[in-house]
Amino acid sequence: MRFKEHIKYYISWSIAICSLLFIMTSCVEEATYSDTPEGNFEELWSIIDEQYCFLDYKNIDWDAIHTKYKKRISADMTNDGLFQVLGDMLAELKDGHVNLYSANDVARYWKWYEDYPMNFSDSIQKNYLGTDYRISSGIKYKVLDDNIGYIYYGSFSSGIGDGNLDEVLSNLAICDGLIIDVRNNGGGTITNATKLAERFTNEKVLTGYIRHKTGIGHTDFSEPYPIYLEPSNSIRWQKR
Amino acid sequence: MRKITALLVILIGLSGTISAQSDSLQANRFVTRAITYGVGYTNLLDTYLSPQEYTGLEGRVVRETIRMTKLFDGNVSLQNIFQANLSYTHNRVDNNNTFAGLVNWNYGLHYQFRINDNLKLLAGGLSDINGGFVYNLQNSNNPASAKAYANIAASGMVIYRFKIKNYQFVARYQANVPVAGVMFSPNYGQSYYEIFTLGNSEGVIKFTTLNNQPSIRQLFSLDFPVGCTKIRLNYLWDIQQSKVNKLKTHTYSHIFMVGFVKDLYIVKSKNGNPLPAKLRAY
Repeated sequence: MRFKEHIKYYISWSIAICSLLFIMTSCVEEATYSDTPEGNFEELWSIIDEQYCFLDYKNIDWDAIHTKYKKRISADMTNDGLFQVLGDMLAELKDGHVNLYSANDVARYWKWYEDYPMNFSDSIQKNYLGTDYRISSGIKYKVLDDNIGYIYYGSFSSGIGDGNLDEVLSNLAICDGLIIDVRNNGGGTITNATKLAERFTNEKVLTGYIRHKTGIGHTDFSEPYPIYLEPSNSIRWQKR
Repeated sequence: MRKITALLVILIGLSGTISAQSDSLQANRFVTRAITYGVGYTNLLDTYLSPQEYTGLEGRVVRETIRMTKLFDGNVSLQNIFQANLSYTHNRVDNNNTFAGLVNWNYGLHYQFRINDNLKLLAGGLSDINGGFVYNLQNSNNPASAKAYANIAASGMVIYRFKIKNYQFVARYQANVPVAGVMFSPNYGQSYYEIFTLGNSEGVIKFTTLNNQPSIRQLFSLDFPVGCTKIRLNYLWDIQQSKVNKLKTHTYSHIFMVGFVKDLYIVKSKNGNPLPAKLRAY
């Protein structure tokens, strides 16, 4: 081989070996915690500290909560005891969407409805819905006696199709007014709620903003991004 | 090699329709193709879904072809690697599982430095295109993470031929390192709903270099004859890592594979009729 070729391949191999060494020593890893009560406690506390969105919004001093609950952790505590302490710590967030799952229980904060009387009764609903209502995918609907249309959408986890909504609104088109009942609806998929809402606007409407965390800091958020509701291309309710 | 030459001589002899200007055997039409299948161990991390590492079993198939081209006086080879893998992993206390899969295509050129008859060093570059997913079984409404990234990779190879009692062995080491590319990644706490349904895709395509994507795929292979066939044993050490949008991912895989190697010749197509009718199966 000629001299120039020697140089070329020595250089290229040197670069290759350097890159190899660089990569071998640049492990992309996340901090690991010991699988002990203390380790589990620290890991859960860190996950909330880095990823939970509402610490500042709810004026929660998460560092103080660390101090408060750390005292209840001991190396020889049982799994049940650990689950209780961790569940109590998460309940400080007062968030119905934060749950800790184990094989025998789900820790939850449901006081926001458990502490209040029920305001929805399906027995009372039966008085006006009767048994001859129609069912179209996730919607129950009927024309009430005074020619008011009634739609009950019980859960946004149940999907509704555009074809279903076309049929429902066509059926209720003769009504003088419309009641849309979403009481006792625990939520679900946003796109299902959007599908229903789209039938009730003729123009693009700003409905809110969305932000996401951009880092581990309590104030690391993206710029608010507007969420618009676009009118459906299919049948829309026009009566006021 | 002798068998292929013999077959071609027979083909040319039998045909009445191949013109007198039929192709002499050209180096760039010989292709070495190997398809290997294997299983191994993988360790994966995707902090978009979980801060925990998941380890377990991975199955992989690799289809590789390599042939010489006419470039630079016939000193450049063209390599085409297609691989697909699927893995099933669990966390360290084995109370949750994650599926992952990736499809990868490498295509590129190496300059071959022939040191002597038995040793070659290859250096070049490959395109490196990847698509896949990670799926965490207990992540309720955010279970999946999509992987889509493409790079230009630097690639080096050592190929060493040696004989043991008249049996020809070929050992190969190859390392591919992505040096520049693009990667899809959601922002740190961003949902796919925000990106794809609401259309906020700012910052989800990021440029990658060794700094934020320190990855390397290393392939050790050994070809040896068994009767009339050639077997290839592969050991693949695949390190795929990324630190993009404050999200960390890694996949460390050790896969042991076996398959057959075939030397094929691409017959030149003349108006879509490369072979005489008697020889055509299709």
